[in-house]
Amino acid sequence: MLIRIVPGMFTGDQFQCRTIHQVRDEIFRTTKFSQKYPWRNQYKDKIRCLPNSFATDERLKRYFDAIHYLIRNVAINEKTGHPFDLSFVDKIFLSYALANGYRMTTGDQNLVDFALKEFKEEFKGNISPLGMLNRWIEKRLITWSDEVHSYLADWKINNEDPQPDRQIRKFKKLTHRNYPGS
Amino acid sequence: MSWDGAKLKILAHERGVTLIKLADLLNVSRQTVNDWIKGQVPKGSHLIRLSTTLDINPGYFFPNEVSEEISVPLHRKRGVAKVTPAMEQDSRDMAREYENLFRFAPPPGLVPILRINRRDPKSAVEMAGQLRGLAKTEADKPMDYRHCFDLLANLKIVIIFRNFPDSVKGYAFCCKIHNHRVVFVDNDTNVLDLIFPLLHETIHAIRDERGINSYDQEEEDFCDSVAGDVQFPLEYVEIVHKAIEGRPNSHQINLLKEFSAANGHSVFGIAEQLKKLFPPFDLNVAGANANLKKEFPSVGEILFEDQDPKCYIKNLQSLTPIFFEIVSNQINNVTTRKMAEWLSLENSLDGREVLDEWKRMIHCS
Repeated sequence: MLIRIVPGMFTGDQFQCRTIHQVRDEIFRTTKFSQKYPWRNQYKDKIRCLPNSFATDERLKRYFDAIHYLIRNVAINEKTGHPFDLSFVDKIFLSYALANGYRMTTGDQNLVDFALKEFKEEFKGNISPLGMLNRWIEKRLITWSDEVHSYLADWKINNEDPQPDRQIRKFKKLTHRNYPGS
Repeated sequence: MSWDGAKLKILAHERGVTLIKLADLLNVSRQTVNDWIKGQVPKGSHLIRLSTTLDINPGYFFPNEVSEEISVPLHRKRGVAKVTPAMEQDSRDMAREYENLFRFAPPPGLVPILRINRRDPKSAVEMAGQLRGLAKTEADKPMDYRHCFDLLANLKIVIIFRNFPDSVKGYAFCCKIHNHRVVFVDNDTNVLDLIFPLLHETIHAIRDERGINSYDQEEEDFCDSVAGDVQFPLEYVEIVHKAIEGRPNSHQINLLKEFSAANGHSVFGIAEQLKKLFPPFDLNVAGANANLKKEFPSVGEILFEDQDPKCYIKNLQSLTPIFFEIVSNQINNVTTRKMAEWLSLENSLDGREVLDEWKRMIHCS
C-alpha cells in the first residue's frame, strides 16, 4: 500500500527500504492483493528485493532455524497466553530482518511480540506504514498532495491494520490534514 | 523435539570449551549456562550466539527433529515423475507447517485400523468390502469423490487441501502428525484423478501399524489392488463389461466415457479395472479420459467455487469435517497469515475475510 504513494520506495536509496522475494511473490500471488490492489501490477518492476541468499547465507539460515525450533518448542506469547505460530514467510522475513539488522514494517503484532521476546538484543524494532510515511514527509523525501492523500482512504476500505495513534497525530501535524485511513 | 540442554554440556566438552569459558564467550553468567543445561530454553539471541560459538546448527539442541511426530512417506507421483529426496523433503516441510495445529488438537482417540496379514487378492477384496461398507456406497456403484471424502471422515482421517509446490509431483499423500492420520490433497487435482490415489493413501493410512516410512513394492501393489476394488466393485465392472462387450472399439470408448461421466470416475480407472478382470481387454482411452476430465472440476474449484468466504468455509466443513473442527478449535489463537497458510488461501480468498467469517460462524453457532 505504501508503494502506490511512494513508487520509488525500494529503488531510491534515500528511502532505505528493502523487501524479500517471498513477500514480493505474495504481493503478486495472493487474492488479497489482486482483488484489493489491482493497481499493484504497475509497480511490479519497482519492487526490488534483497538477493535471495537463503541457501548460501549461513547466518540467515541460522536465524531461520533458531526461529523454527523455538516455535516448535512452543514459545508462548505472554501477552495472549497462546503459543506463537509463524507462517513460513513470517519466519523468513524475520530472519532477514535479524540477520541484516533491519527494522521491520508489519502489522502483525504476533510477529513483533515474538521478535521482542526472543531476539530483544538484535531486533531493531517495527515501524508502522504510517510511521514510514511520516518519516519521509518529515525528511522532505516526499511531497504530500491531494492525490496521495486519497490513496490513504483505501487503507480503511481495505481493512488494513489500524495505525498507531501517535503516528496519526504526527501525520495531522505534518500535513495539516485528517488521517482518512484505518 | 524439545530442548535438550544436556547436549550443550557434551558439545562444549567435545569442542574443548569449559562451561565457564562458554559463559564468558556468550557474555552470560555461569548460572545461565547451567540453567540451559538443566532444561531452560535459551532466548533466541542466546541460541544464535550459542550455535555460532560452538559452530553447530540450532537444531542440534532440539533432537528428534525428524521424528515420529511427522512421517511423510510420499511415494506416489504424477505420470512419469520420479520421487526424489527433494520432493520428500518439500512434502515433509509442508506437513511441518501443521505441527502446532495438531500438537494442540485433541488427540484423535481410537481410530479404525484394518489389519490384514496376507496381501493377496482375496484379502484385497475383503478389505475393499469393509471400506465400501464404511462409505455406505451401493453395491453396484463406483465411488465418486464425495464417497471418498465421507469414507475418510468415517476413518477419522484428516484431509488437508493444499496448493502443492511444483516440486511435489503428487495428487495426494498421507502422513502422521502428532498421531493424527492426515492426507494432503493438491487443490489442482481434478476430482476424477483424485479418487484412486486418495483411496490408495487411505489404505496406507489405516494400515499404518506396518510402519509407513519404508517403501515396499508389495505393499504398494496391495494398496493399488484394494483401491481399485474399493472404487470399482465387481458388480459394476461386470455391468460395464457386459455393455461394451463385442462392440467396435470406438463404441466401447464412447460407452466407457458415458459410464464414467454418469458415475464420476475416470475413463482410465475403469479401463484399468477391466484390464485386470477381463484380460483380453486393452483399449487406449487416453484421449477420452482427457476430454472427460475437462467436464469435471479440480478440488480447488469445488472449494472456492463462489469466491466467497462463507461458501468456502461451508464447502471445507462438508469435505473435511475433522480438519474444520480442529481449525475451529484454534481459530481464536491463530494469526491471519498462519491460517491462510493452513488453508492454502493465497490464490483464492483474502485470509482476513475468511478468518473473520469463520469466527462469526462459530460465534453464531
